[in-house]
Parts: sequence; C-alpha cells; structure tokens
Amino acid sequence: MRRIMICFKLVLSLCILMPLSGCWDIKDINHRAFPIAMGITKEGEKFKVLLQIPISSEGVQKQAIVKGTGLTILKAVEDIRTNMESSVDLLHIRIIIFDRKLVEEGGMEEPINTFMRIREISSKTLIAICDDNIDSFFLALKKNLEKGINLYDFFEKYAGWTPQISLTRLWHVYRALNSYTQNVAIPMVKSGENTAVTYTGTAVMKRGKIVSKMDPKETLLFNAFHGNSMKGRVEVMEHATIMIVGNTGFHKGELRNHIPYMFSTIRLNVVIQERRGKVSNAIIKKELEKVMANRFDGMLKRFQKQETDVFGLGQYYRNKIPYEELKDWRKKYYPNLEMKLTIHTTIQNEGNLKNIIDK
Amino acid sequence: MNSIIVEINEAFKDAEDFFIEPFSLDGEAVLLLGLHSIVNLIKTKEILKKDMDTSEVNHSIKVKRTFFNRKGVEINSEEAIESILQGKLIVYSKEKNIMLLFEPLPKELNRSIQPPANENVLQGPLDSFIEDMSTNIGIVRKKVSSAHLSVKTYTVGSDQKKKLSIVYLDDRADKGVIKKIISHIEMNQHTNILYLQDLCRFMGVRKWEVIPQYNNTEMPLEAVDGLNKGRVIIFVDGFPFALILPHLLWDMFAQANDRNYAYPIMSAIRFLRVVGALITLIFPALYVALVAVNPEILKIELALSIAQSREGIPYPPFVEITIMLLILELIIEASIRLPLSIGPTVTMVGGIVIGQAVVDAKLVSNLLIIIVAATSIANSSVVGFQNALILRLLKYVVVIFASIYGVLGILSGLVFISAYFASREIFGIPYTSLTKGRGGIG
Repeated sequence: MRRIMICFKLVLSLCILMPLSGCWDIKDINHRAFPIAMGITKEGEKFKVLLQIPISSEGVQKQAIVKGTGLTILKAVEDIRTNMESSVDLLHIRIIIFDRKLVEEGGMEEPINTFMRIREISSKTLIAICDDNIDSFFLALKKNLEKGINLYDFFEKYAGWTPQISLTRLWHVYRALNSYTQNVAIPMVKSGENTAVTYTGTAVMKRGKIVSKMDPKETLLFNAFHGNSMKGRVEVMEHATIMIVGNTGFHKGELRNHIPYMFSTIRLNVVIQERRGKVSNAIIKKELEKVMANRFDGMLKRFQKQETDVFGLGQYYRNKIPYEELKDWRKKYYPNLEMKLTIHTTIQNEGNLKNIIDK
Repeated sequence: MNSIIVEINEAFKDAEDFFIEPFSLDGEAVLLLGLHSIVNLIKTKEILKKDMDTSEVNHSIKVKRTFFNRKGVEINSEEAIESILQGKLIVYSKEKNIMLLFEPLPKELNRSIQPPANENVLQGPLDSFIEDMSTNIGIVRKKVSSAHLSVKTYTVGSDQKKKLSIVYLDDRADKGVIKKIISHIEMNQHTNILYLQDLCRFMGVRKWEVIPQYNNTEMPLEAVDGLNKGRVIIFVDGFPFALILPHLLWDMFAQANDRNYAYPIMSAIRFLRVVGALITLIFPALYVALVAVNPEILKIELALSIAQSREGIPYPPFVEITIMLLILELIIEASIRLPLSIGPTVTMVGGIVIGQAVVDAKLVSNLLIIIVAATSIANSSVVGFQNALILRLLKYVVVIFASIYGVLGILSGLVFISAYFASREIFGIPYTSLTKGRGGIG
C-alpha cells in the first residue's frame, strides 16, 4: 500500500512538473534570429525599426537588415517577427541607434521607457545616435560588415574602443531622463568612407534632447573624469607627444553658502614619446596640465550655461542639498558651481635615450 | 558399513569429487573422507606417512597426537558434511566407530598476489587483494604491525556458508560503528551473502540507495589508510577487495596514494577531481540549457557559432544529448564486457566512426560531441568506479531539470543532489562529513 502511495505521488508530481515548466515555449538556438543592432527612426506618426541580424551559414558571416513599421516600437518589431522565418528575440541586442531627427524632436523618452519595461533587452545595451540617414547608415553597415559583427566591436573595450569614445548604456539614459542631478552623453556615429563607422563626437543631452556636443578630445577628458581608462591615448602638444598610460580621478564636493564647490584631482601617468627641441620634463608636465585644465574649464562653462550636468556633479551634492530642492539643481545650483581641478602628471618613462635635460 | 558413512555417502551421491579412501594409520584401518576438488589427497597422505615413518617413539602415541587427541574429536554426521564442504578431511576409524576432523593440505585454488587489475597505481605499492580472505588479512597485518589491529571473523549464511571478517584498529575506530556492524552481522547470521548487494541489505541499507555504502578497493594501501583514519574494513571470502566503511563523499576525490606526492601536487590533483565531478554533472545540462532555454546568456559570437553548428539538426537538444549519452554508456558497458582484444575495436567504432558519422548525418551538433567527450573524460577522473557510477547516473537528473527550467534547472538539480547527499548517513556518520571530529573518520 505504501509503495502504491509513493508511486502515485511520484506520478502526480511529474504531472505537475510538466504544465508548470512552460517548456513548450522553448525554441532551439538554431531557430532563433539574434538581432545585434537596432535602429529607430520615425516616419510620420509611425516608428520605423531596423534590425541587423547576422545569419549563420557555412563559412562567411552574412547580415540581414530587416525593417518594420508600427505605431509603437514593439508593433514594428512584431511586424518584423511576422515576416521572419525564425523567431526574433531581442535578447542579444547590443546596440540601439537612434536617428538624430527623432532625438532632436524629443522622441527618445518613449522608446527608452519601453526598453526598460519589457525586460527583454539588457539594460547594459549601448545607446548611440546616428548622425545621418539611418537607412543609408544600416545599408552601408551591411555592406561593410559582411565579415563579422562589428558595429558592436566598435564600442567593445577589448576590440575597437578608444578612450575618445563615450560608452553609454540603456540604464544610463534612463537614469538621466529621471534624475535631477545627472545628464547623459551619447556617442554619435555615421557611416564612414573607409571604415564601417565614423565617430563624430558625443551628444550632450538634456531631457532627451541634444543641447551641445563634445568633440573626441573632450570626450577623453569626460571619460577620464569618470575614471574610465585613458590608456594608450596619445596627446600631441606644442613641445612633445606623450602617451597616457594610466589615470585615476578623485572628486569631492562641498556646499558653502548655497554655492557648490568641487575639488577634483586627476592623476595621469604618461610616457614621453617624442620631444621637440630641448625641453625639460617640467615644461612638458606644465603644458599637459594646462591643456587639460583649459579644455575641461571650457567644457564645464559651456555645460553650465546650458544647464546640463553630464559629469554628474550633482551626485556629489545629493546628501548636502535637501531633497525638495534637488530638482532645482540644474537651475539654481549648477550654474554657480565653482570647479577646482588639479591635474597631477607623473612621467613614468622617457624612453631609452640617455641625454635627458631636466631643468 | 556404518550408518553414518551411509548418511554422508548419501549426501554426496551426486558429487563426483567426493572420495572415501581406505587408509591405514598405525596398522589401524581407517577411511578418509573428503572432496578431491579442494583437498590435495596425495600430499596429505604423504605427510601422514612421513610423520609415522620417521618417528622413533611409539607409533600409536604419534598417531594419537596427530589425530585422536585433537580438539572437538567426535563429530556427528551433520557436522561431518559441513566440514567436508569447508575443505576438511574426515578420518573415520572403523574399530572405534568415531569420526575425527583433520586439516589437510588444501589444493592451491588461489592466485598469487598481483598488481591491481581495475585500479591503476602510479608510483605506489603494486600489490592487491586476492580472493582468499586470510591472505588479504595477512597483507593488511604485514602493513599495519600494530597490536591494536583487531580481526573478527564470522561465518554467515544458512545453506551457503561464507566467511566474513571485520578488521579495524581498536584504538582509532569509532566504537559505535563497530558495534552496529557486529550487531547487524549477529542478527543476520543466517542470510546468504552471494553478492555485495546481499551484504548491503544485510547491513540494513535501503534497496534504492544510490550512494555506495562501501568504498571497495583492491589496493592494500587504501585499506590501510582507511584503518588509520579509524574506518572499518570488511573482507568477504571470495571477493578480491576490501570494503572500507563508512564511505564518505570526500573519498570520491581523495586517494591515499596521493599522499605519496608533494602537498601542492596532491592538492592540485584533488582539485582537478572536484572539477571533473562538477563538469560531469554540469556540462551536458549546460548544453541543453543554453541551446534550448536560455540562449541569452551566451555571448553573441558564441551564440551564432552554436546556432551554425546546430543548423539542420531535427531534434531538440534534450533528445540529441540523450541519444549521444546513451551511445556513450553503451560503449563503456561494451568495452567493459568484451575481451581485451575486441575492446579497442568498440572504442574505435564507437568513438571515431559513430562520432564522425553522427555529425555528418546531422543528427547531433559538433559542439555536442565535444561536450559528450569532455563529460566522459571528466567522469573517469574521480576515485573509485562506484563513485564514477553515481555521477554517471546523477548527470541525467541535472539534464532533465535543465531541459525544463534551463540554467535555473541546473542550479536546482545541483541543489537537489547536494540535499540528497547531505541527507544520507552511513552507520551514523553523515555522508558529506569532512571533519575528523567523529573518531577520526574523515
């Protein structure tokens, strides 16, 4: 009797296991299409979504560009899904490119909210803005990318990424849309003549709209300020060419009399690669520090005027300003912010030359 | 003829190897009774004669000393039959109508001590246990020359008697475990032990227990190591290995011979075995989970190449991997069963021909072949065949979970297995215990 009961329970639990699992929805990996890049633009009232899908085939990698339109983004994706022979899921999307036109019209917020909501797209997905027509951008991409999966590699740290390119994730953008104290910078790309992608700079955003732009050199400083590695960046100056091999940043905010003061230290480790004439290390150091500081000051002034806080300086004052007043950070406090930036340079290596002038 | 002799003769009427041999001892006509197949009759007679011939003293005294004064002299017919079966010689004196027991020269039925056949030793002692129990105990005695070594022998079984010895160091072994074992033996003295399964039942182990209760080893080094850790060894006559008891989880990864190497090397080898066990459990399941349920975990490059290798394969991964694992199990079973000369052919046919053909025929993917191969190699890295067997079995549990719940299923499968392991006790010692706390069992 006991044995029968055990058998009965076993069968019952197995019966329960099957309907609870949902395993009939499983689609094998070879019956799925993995789009890796998504382009979004607007055609009239409708969203237009472009997906770059690598097609697995023997030997060479092929790419397909598929388009769909719909009143919402997911409707457009559904449009694509209906017409594809394999199931399309957005799990592997690595980069989402917004058409500049769409961004300038302020239409970024809605798609970003959708992406955060549906959970199918990783919040680590990169966001970029396309500086020219997105259709032609994707077509050029397809032509250039027959060999691999490379729009993503362009932003990949172990592949094509350089410190002049800012990396912005989906959650950064979402945070910026909802934060009182932080804005976001989104890299801008367009199709290049020789290479697949050309980087044109970084768009500085405010409430989902482009208000300013950083050139690659400024983006470098922006990255350095956030502690991203500047490693390998070559800086050409009047008297020397140096390479930055390491950087650290330290920031401290203070609020005195309703005026925010910011004390920042950026330490750079550099290697001298080329020297013009007989200049000492001290001069090179000074020159580098001056170049960097001037560049930073120029940037900050510009952003303060436009009331956009891409550096996220407001983050350092969140515990110093009452919460009710935080929403006025950009208007009331940020324009008055005083920045004290100190750049420390350590020259690590001067190369194999012996006759070094040190005065 | 005496009725007792008739009775014995009747009992052995179908045994051609039974003999009743007339013989004269000291001028006294006697009958020798025994079994040809286990008694070396000619040599035994020679010894008897030689004993008497060289003797200067009165023959009758000599003979008396040799036979008639032995302990437990008189026996009845039932005892006689039993003794004959155990390889004893019966001397029956017609005049006095008594039967006497004599220990004859046995026929050499045991092989000599050889290197272990099923366990490989790398730079360690090369002896192994044989079928004869007393030889095995002798080997252990030689390695542990300690006065604390206790050997207790029992004869169990109702119609088929079997000798059983438990060996332990009485200053180290857990008293509770020994007490339990002895009480089990005493309680079940009339159960026949033909196989180790019987021994397990006899020791009160549940029928559906997956975990092996004994660590059976051919190597005296392992057995002695067990003794020194306070474990108990059981020898069963006729089985060429020692059963070390209790068997714990860590025995899957640690071998006594490892200690013949430097400490860092020993640690590395053991770590490797742990990794091997995990690979066995996880790899096939991971394939199923990643390919069918959770492809989003894969890096896009990997996802694409896997998708490409699975292009055109009709079965879902679960079926695919079940087919391949089944073929693999068949290969393993076949190569154990077949003679050594055919074994390699099976390996070749199974490995190369089927492996290659099955990919070409698009029945399974390339990647799966790699996974299956890696699994079977990793499976063999754990110590002890019985441990490899449980891993072989348990990996299917994880595969089934993975095919339903994906990566989460792997985790729950492993949790399930861990919980199962943790719930087991062997003679009161938790299977997963590692510490040396309880009488130094670990």
